[in-house]
Amino acid sequence: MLPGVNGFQWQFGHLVFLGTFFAVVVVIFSTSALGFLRSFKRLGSDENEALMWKHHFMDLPQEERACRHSMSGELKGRICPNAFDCRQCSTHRSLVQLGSSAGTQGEELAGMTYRSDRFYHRGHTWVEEHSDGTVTIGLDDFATKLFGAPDEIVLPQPGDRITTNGVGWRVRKAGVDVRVLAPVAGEVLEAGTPEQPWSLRVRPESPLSEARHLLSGDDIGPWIRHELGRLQGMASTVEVGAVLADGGELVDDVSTAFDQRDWDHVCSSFFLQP
Amino acid sequence: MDRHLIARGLDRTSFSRFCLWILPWVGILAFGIYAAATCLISGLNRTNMDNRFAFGLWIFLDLTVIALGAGAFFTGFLLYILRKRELKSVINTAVVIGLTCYSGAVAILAVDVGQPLRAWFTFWHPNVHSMLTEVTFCISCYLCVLLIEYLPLVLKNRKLSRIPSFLVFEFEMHRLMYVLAGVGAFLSFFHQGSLGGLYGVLQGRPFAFREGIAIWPSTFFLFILSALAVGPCFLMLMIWLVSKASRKRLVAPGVFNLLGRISGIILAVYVLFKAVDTLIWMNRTAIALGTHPFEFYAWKPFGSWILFTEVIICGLFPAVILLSSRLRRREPWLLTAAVLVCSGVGLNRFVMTIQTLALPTLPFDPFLNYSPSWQEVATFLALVSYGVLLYSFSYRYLNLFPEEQRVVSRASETVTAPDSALFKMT
Repeated sequence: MLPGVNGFQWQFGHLVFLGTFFAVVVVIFSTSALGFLRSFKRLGSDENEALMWKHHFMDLPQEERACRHSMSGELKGRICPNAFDCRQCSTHRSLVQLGSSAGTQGEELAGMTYRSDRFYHRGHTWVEEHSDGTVTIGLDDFATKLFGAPDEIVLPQPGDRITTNGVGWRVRKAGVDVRVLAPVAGEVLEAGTPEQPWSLRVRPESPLSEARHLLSGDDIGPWIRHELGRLQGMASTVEVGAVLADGGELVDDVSTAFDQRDWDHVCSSFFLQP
Repeated sequence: MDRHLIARGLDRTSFSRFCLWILPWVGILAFGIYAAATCLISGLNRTNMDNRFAFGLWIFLDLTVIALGAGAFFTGFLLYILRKRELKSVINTAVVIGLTCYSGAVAILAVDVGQPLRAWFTFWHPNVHSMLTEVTFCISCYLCVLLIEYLPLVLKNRKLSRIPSFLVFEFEMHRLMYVLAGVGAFLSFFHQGSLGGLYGVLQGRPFAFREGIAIWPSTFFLFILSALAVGPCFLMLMIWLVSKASRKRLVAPGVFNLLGRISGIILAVYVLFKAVDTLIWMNRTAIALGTHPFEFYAWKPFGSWILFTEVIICGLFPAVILLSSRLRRREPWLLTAAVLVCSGVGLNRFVMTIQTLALPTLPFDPFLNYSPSWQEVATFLALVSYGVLLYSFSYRYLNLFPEEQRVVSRASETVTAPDSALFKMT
C-alpha cells in the first residue's frame, strides 16, 4: 500500500486518511519530545530545586499552606500563593510597610524557645547570622522535640551548595526519612558540630536582611501556636491528661506518641513533604 | 513494608492484606494468559468462532470496554479544553480506567487477530476504505496518548517524585497535557465512531446496516454519543465502588452531580437519535433491503424486549433520572441510573455484535448459535483481572484522588495518640 510496496498508487483517500493519521502521530511524538527537551534544559539549569519545591508545595494540604498573615490574624483564611516565598508577595510587602509584622520579641511556648535574633523557616529550621557574614542553620525546638534522638542524619559536605527550599539535610527517625528544607541558599562551610549535630554553617548568597521569606519577631508566635494546634489535632480528638492549654510542655521525643503510619504523616506535614 | 511508596496521608490496607487481595486476580490472569497463548499458538480453532460467526465474546467485550473507557478522553476534554476544573479530582482515576480499558482491548484484539509479529502489516498495508483500519490506527495512537498521560501519575509516586529529573519531566508533561487531551478527544471521537460505523456499513447484514451522512452511517454517530454518555457513568460507578471498599470519601459530592448531569444531557440526545434512527431503519432502510424489521425480532431469545430494554429501560429511564436535579442528588437514584446506562451500552454492543451475526440474512440461512469456548472465557476473565490489578496497584501507590484526605476519614477512628503522650506538665 505505502511507497515501496508493490502496486502502490497514491489516491485522494490515501492522502486524507494517512495525512491525518501521520499528523496525529507527529503531534503525539513531538509533544512528548518537547516535554523531554524542556525537562532536559531545565535539568541543566539551577532551577531544579526551586521547581521541585513549587511542585511539592502545590501538593500540600491547605492548612500547611496557610499564609503567615492569616496565622497572625491580619488576613483571614489566606492560602499562600507563592510557595512561602514572601520576597515576591505584594500582600506581604504592603503589610510590612504598614508595620504589622514588625517586632523584636522572642517566644517561649510549650517548653520551646524561639529567639528574636534568629530567622525561622516554615519547614522548622532557623538561621542565625554571624558578624563575618556567614550563617548557621539548625533545627528549631519544635522539630528537635519531634525527632528526639534521630536514628540517622545525612548532612551535606563542606563545599556543597544548598538552595532556598531545596534539601538542606536528611534525617531518619522511627523508620521515616525526612528531608529538611534549607532556609537560605549558599555554600556549606561546615556540617554538624558535636553540640549541634544537625546544624550547618553556610556562606549565604545574599544578606539575611533580604530573606523576607523567613519568619521573625511577631510572626513567630502565631506560627508556632498554629503548628502546635495542628499537632494536637493530629494526635487526638479528645483531650486527655496534660494539654497545651494547661501549660503543658511538648515531650522530648514526640515520635514515640505515634504509630509508624501516623508518624510518617506527622513528619510529612511539619516538614512540608507531600 | 511498602509504606514509603504510598502517598503521604493516604490510608491503605496492610501489605499482607493487599497481597491476599491481588493473589486470586493474579491466578486468574495467569490462567487467562495460558488460554490466550493456546489461541495464539494453535490458532482460532481453539475458540468457538468460525467463518460465519467471526465476532464473538472478545469483540463484544472490546466494544464494551472501549465505550466504558471513554470517560478518560471525555473527562480530559472537559477538564483541559472546556476548563471544567471540578473534574480535576477525577482525572487521574479516569486516565487509569481509560488505560486499563484500552490496553486490555488492544491485548484481546492481538489474540483475536492473531500473528502479533505481523501487527505492523496493518500500518504498512492499510486499507484506507475500511472502518477497521481507522479503528486500529486510532486505538493504537490513543493507547500511546494514554500511556503518556499515565506516566506523570507514576512519576508522581511518593518515592519517584523525589528524583528531580522525574519530577521535572512530570511537570513539563503536565504543562503539555492539554495538547494530549485534544489529540485524545480527536482520536477517541473517530475510533468510537468507526467501531459503530463498521457495523453500519454491513450491507449484507440488514439488521445492522444503516444509512447516514457521507461515508458515515448513523451508527458512527450513535456509538460516539453512547460512549460520551456512558464514560462519566462508569467513572462514577468505579469511584463509588472504590469509595465503598475503602470506606473513604474520595471526591466532593458535587463532582458526581456534575458527571451525572453531563451524562444525562448526552444520554437524552442519544436516546432521541437512537429512537429516530430505529424508526428510519424500521420504516425505510430494512424495507428497502427487502426485509421486514420485525422478522429480526422473531428469533428467540432476541425478541423485541431487547430493543425495549436497550432504549427505554437502559436509555430513557436513566436519562430522566440524570436530568432531574432532585433525583440526581440522591445517591441510590444516581447509581441506579449509572448502572442502567452502563448495562444499556453493554447491551447495545452485544446486539450489534452477537445478535447481528446470529440472525440469518438469507432465506436458507439458519439462526446461528454461539457460546464461547473456555479459552475465550478465560481470556475475557484475564482482561477483568488485569483491570482490577492495574487499578489496585495504581490506587495503592499513586495519588489517584487528590482530594483524598486521611484526616477527614480519621475523624471517627480510634484515638492513636492522646494529648497526654505529647505534652507533659511542668
